[in-house]
Amino acid sequence: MNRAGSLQGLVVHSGIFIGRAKYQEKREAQIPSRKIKDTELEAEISSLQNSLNHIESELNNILDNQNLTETERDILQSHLLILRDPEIEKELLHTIESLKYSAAAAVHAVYSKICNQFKEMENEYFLERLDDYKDVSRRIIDFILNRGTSEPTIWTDQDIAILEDISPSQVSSYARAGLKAYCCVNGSYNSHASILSRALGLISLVSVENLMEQIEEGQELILDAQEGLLILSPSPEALASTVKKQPNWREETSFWKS
Amino acid sequence: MIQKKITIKNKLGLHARPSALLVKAATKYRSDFNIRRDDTVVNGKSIMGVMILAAECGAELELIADGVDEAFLIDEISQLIEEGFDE
Repeated sequence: MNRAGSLQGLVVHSGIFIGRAKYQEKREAQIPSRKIKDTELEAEISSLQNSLNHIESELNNILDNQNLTETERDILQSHLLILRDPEIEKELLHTIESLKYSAAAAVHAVYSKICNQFKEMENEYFLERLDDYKDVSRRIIDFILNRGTSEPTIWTDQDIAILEDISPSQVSSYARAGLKAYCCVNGSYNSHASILSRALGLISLVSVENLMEQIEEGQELILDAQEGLLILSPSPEALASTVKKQPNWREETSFWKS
Repeated sequence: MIQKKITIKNKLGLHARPSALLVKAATKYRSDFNIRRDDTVVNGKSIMGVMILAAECGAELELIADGVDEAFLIDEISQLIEEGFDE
């Protein structure tokens, strides 16, 4: 039995969306901890290089293809510069070759070290940059461990993604994979992920308490990101009045009438 | 090898955007490029390195380029800094 009622959150990008909950599992990638053998060295290095090249072209594609604002462009450019930082690459190769870490473990180790250094500086500016480094690191690790697909999810135009957190790179890859709306447990208005969401027109609500506890996979929802509300299992009356509120209501949404 | 002393002019110093502009410009050249501030020397083609300098307005830096196109690199980077990154 689905629970009715509504949850409140912080509007990142305003709009109204009727859809169904789709959970995006947190893919806690299992990073292999064993040391690699000499015979595996070459494969690990090329796995790292492949992932860097692939993500670089992914980022460049986004930069080329869309009408991005200057802010978004800056964010994506900074991710590119981090991804291709020669000092970080040198450190990654050293960690694989000399310390015999796997490619994924090396990325995790090197980026964690950088993040810790930034934290120790206790400076607002470095703390703000932390998220970019974390995001780039997570993206590389995901790519390496999934052997080629960093964005496996395909969204239908009825999906409302339900997530714990969302990163800037998830925002851009999900939007390109067809996602139109999402809700998060965490998040803030000025995060890089939120700035990107607004630029890409993703209807979004963050900082929604009890989100994971209240919502089931496939549950019908109205995301009213004008009022900052997520309405669970809406009544036919609520649906009818929401449909009228939607500025661009199209025939596709008529599946609700059945 | 060319070395050149220079002072950061823009109000916010080498924060996110100027650092990115500087690194992007330097990366176009083949020469090695380091930046020294007091006792710290960083790779000028590394965004992390440039960030760590935390060069505020008025900070005195030394640009050090070494390679076939060192003069062009120093010219472009100096110009960026002199013009305060158009800020």
